[in-house]
Amino acid sequence: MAIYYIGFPFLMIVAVLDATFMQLFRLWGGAPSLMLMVMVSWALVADLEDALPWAVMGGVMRDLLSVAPTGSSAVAFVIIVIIIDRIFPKISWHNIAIPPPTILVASYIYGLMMFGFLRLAGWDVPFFNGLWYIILPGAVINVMGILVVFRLIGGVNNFLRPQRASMLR
Amino acid sequence: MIGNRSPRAVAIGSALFISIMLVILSLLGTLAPAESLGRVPLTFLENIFGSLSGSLDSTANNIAEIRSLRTRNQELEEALADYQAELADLREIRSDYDRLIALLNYTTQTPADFRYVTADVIGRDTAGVVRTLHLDKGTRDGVAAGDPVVTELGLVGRVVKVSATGCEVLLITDSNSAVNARIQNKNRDVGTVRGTLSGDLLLTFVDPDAQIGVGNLVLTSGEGQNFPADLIIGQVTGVSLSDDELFQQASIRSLVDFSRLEFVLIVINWEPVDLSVFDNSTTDNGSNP
Repeated sequence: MAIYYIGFPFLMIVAVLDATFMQLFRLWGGAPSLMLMVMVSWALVADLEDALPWAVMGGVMRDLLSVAPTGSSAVAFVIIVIIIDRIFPKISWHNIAIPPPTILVASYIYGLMMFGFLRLAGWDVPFFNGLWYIILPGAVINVMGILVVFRLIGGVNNFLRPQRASMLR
Repeated sequence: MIGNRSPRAVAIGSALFISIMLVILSLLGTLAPAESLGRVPLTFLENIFGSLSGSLDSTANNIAEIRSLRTRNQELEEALADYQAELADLREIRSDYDRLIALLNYTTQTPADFRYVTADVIGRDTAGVVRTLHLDKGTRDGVAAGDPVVTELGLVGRVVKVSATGCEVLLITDSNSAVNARIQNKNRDVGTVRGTLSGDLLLTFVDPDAQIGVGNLVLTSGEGQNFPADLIIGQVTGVSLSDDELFQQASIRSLVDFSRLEFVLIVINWEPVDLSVFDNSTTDNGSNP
């Protein structure tokens, strides 16, 4: 249950940081997504049953600070978490090879899904230009930041589940 | 039946079901009260973090911009001298104008009649695709969806979402934004200012015979009643023909630096004229010639 108690305020702060501090690192039309980095990192180190509630909570909080329909980021995060769970077994928080390519692909999955949801909500989304002008710059910054976030989330996982984390060393 | 399924399958099914239901309810508008309530604590936190990140951003920019500010200051001082002379002429014209409108009993709402609420910029849209600002004023301050947002330098955008303590503003630089505009040239030609993916402004649908000059001011026309008339949008920086060569288009430079806005003014007493009745009558006329 500690995962939920810690997760709620933690994800709330991450959502707010996405809307404030992370906007300072804008490149072209894209901005990094701390929430996506957290979701990918958590999916890589934690069990699916722990990662899914975070995906839903984090997605809803992110959407509350966005014009996107509430729940659209949650759907995207849940799908990303499921895909990561299918492809990778749990990895050690010392692993530096897997997180960067994973966040790159996850950024595109997330971006494309958000384009779809925004179109559904009636927003005019420049689909093809958006691929390189909005998603690519955001993905590049996400790749640069993922290792820091991954280590941090790995540390949180170690704190919450010390026994399981030690098995992955 | 659920008892036979693995906990993983149940977790996946539940997470997907909850998320998809949220999207559907949000699109239907059923979640609006809950969304408004949910935004309150997030807006509170955003207010704190927004001012911190704003200070950080200003400090970094201040250091980096000293050199460019010196050059800019020089340019502005020269421009000020020109404008002071122009201002004297305009004051004379204004005084004539005031007398004439009094004679004609012509009443209209001008920017001087607007009631403003000053709001701090506390964040930006997290989806990244749409250019919006989060402000720290909401319904309890009199803000409503559709309210125009300005600064002393010109038009910023329009409120699209509002909660009790905060609101979200669609910037005119977003590609979803379209503002009916008038060019301050001899013929006062009209067009539509659209945002672009890169965040620039483009004046489109201008008559191909219109004489647009670099430096012409572009103001809101008030047509369509999306925005009040005579709000400054920006200045023409370049003119070209549209791809199909049916219209002229012009790139516009707003004096507002949208990436570094710290506070804005929300016009809370502007009421657009309801034009929907004319749409219905047009349809009726069309179906019954």
